[in-house]
Amino acid sequence: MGVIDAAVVITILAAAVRIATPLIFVSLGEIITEKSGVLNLGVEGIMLMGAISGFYTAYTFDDLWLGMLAGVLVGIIFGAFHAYFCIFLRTDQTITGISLWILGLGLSSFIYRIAFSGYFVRPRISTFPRISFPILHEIPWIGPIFFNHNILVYLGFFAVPIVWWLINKTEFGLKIQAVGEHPKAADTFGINVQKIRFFSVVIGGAFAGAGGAFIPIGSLGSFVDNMTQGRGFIAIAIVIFSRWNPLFAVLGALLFGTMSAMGTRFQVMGIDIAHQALLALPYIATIAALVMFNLSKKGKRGGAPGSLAVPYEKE
Amino acid sequence: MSENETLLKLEGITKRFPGVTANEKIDLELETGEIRCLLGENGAGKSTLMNIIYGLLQPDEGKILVKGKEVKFHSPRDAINHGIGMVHQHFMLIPTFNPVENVVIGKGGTRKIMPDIRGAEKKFVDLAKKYDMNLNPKTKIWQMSVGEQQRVEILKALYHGAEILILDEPTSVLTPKETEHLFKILRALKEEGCSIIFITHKLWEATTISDKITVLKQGKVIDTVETKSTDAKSLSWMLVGRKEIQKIEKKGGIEGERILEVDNVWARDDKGLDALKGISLEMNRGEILGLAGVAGNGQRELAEAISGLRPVTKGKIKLKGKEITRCNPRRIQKMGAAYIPEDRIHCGAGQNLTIKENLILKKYYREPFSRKGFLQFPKISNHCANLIDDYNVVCRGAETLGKQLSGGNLQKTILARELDAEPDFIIAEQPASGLDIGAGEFVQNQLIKSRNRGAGVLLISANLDEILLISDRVAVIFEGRIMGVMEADQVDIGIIGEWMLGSDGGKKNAEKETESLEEEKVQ
Ligand SMILES: Nc1ncnc2c1ncn2[C@@H]1O[C@H](COP(=O)(O)OP(=O)(O)OP(=O)(O)O)[C@@H](O)[C@H]1O
Ligand SMILES: [Mg+2]
Repeated sequence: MGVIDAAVVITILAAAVRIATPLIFVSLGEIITEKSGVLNLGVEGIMLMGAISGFYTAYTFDDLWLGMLAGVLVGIIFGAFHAYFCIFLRTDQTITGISLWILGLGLSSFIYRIAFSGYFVRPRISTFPRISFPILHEIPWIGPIFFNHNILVYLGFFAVPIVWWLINKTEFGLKIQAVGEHPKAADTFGINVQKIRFFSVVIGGAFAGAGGAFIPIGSLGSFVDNMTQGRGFIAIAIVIFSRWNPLFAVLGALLFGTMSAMGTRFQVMGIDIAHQALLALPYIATIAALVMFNLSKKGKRGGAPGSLAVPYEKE
Repeated sequence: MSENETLLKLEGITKRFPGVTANEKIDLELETGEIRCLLGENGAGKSTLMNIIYGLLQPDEGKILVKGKEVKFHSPRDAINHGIGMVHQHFMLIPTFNPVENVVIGKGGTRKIMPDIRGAEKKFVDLAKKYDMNLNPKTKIWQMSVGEQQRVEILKALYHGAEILILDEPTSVLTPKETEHLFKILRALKEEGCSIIFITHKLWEATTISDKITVLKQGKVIDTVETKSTDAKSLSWMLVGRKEIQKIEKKGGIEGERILEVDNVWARDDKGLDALKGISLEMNRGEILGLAGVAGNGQRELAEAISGLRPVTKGKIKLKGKEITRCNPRRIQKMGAAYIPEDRIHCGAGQNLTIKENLILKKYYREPFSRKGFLQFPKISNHCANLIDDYNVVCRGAETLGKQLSGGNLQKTILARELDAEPDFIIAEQPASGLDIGAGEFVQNQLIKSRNRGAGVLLISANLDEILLISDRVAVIFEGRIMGVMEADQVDIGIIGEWMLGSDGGKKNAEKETESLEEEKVQ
């Protein structure tokens, strides 16, 4: 296969890093949410809401950062929505999450149609420019793959150790783990279980909103219906794959990104595989990775928070 | 520290749950440096009262005074800040954390971004040393024995400056040795002016450790007496208020057929290490085999392996002559086996299921409770009402949730479910722990009854007295091996004790003395 030379591989891997970024944002948020014992299956919907509000704001005010901020804010609102239902009304978390997804799916397209009705050409924004790290970007292979991206990509990767630190080293993180593991014990410690869970879900929502806004603002430059294409669910799969560890979540996201970039690239190069199969590649890879990972798990404690998706009721 | 100063005072505390008054106008005074024992039957309201003092529950009426000042606790945090600490009946620690992490956030946190783990660890270790407790601050809670977990709970309370320490049935999970150790710790605390409230169902503990004893019954204080001026007999009179329960006699050994054969069985624990290392046991119908041993030597794994909950890596298990090594739990249970697990909260009963649902968990799919796929509710209700009556479960009805039951009553519910079907083979793990005197004897009677009608009972307990009381034979397990088996009427406590500690020095003699030792296949 002479068509695949170093330049192609580098392009694919660089694209993989970019594609992985929103997944990193979302799965980091979901890790925080789930660590506190709440499952948010609605991140897909939150991503879409983050995407439309981010795109609309960036387009209207011609300010990309303001767009990101709008995405995060909407993510917070939707996260709070999920938190309120699951934590205080103790609704079923799976059903609430799926409702949130469907709501986000419909509402984002609806808003797009109202806000941009009567445009003949798909409205576009210019995305964040690339920043090449001085010196670093000259390292062969590593440089062009990792150090030639826009600021949001760097932010996403930078957030990984921060979230790890938050969960494992700070008091807030210990409390998150405590309420997700054994809420009743946390209660006897004098920890306000519902408050900690609420904040965790809201933070998760903010990350999901940022991940969603990244797609139009950091990557595509426009909004398309259902543009997240199930990445919210992929992020949830990555969370399981990562054993709720932010450092491993990056690997999961990069794996998906690589498969996705390969699929697109092969299509462009006209390699003779049905393009549907290529498009399905990353999703299949995700499922395969999940299966393999779970088959190899040792002992009972797979890292899942002990009280995941169990509402807590003070008597 | 002046003597006889009132540290804690309760005035007219009343707490109602839907359908029950758990506490009714309770008055209580606790002095500095006093050890107070609370006695009362299952469901008398002891845990409820303690949870109120600790701020977990809010009383409907009444006042709490600490050092003469009235206080209102909205959460345990307030109580901790007033110097109150509590060791719960069912331990309250985060299983995935180590002790230090548990301690650090154990007061609702330090309100710092990054807690000073290293400083906390030092303080924790010093405290542990001071009370002669051997604990590794880096071991995760779920890897600790219950005794260790309890010590962590005590240290957690002391770490946060507890002057009043509440222990809710601390000894029900401990071996006699551990209980001794605990008493030593409590006496040391008392010396330092700490006041202790201690709940137990064992009268000798109450008379040994306490200064005063308060007896609760159906939510009310019956009396408070000086320990010096009372004895076990008058206490039990106060407690039960009726005659001693008739003890069922063991009918002469029924020479029954083999019911259980365990042949060189190996199994792993949750950490993936070998917990059973070639266990061999044989049991006949009509006998109670007591399995003694210090907790955590493979008892739970053995019980789970036999009942089909834990995969067996090597060896064979036969029930009634049929191999069940790889059968699923329902198959085994359908063959007439019953299992009363030690962990009643997670394994024995559904916390969010009603008593009714818990009671029919094992037979809901069978006639007459289910017909053509439909549940027959009138039949179920009837059946459950009878069981609740027979087993004397104190609750406000069959719709009470498992988690709303007092510890002892939850156990009675499990017993009712398991024993009602007249099983041929019963594994009972610590069946009487946490039960009041009456209920404890009731359980023992039930087990003897089952034996008399020809069932085999494998009684697993860390409580040697319990085992010696009703067993026909006694086996001892240590580090996943059977150290030896003895006929109950020829038991030599000395040898049993050595076996429990892993030394088989006495085994040789035992072999000479007892003839029926074919069961013993120690490697
Ligand atoms: N959350 C609750 N909701 C409803 N009823 C409850 C709740 N907690 C306790 N009860 C009821 O209150 C009564 C007292 O329970 P409590 O747990 O205080 O008993 P206890 O004296 O500690 O018994 P045990 O020795 O069995 O632990 C019981 O009848 C119990 O069913
Ligand atoms: Mg209790």
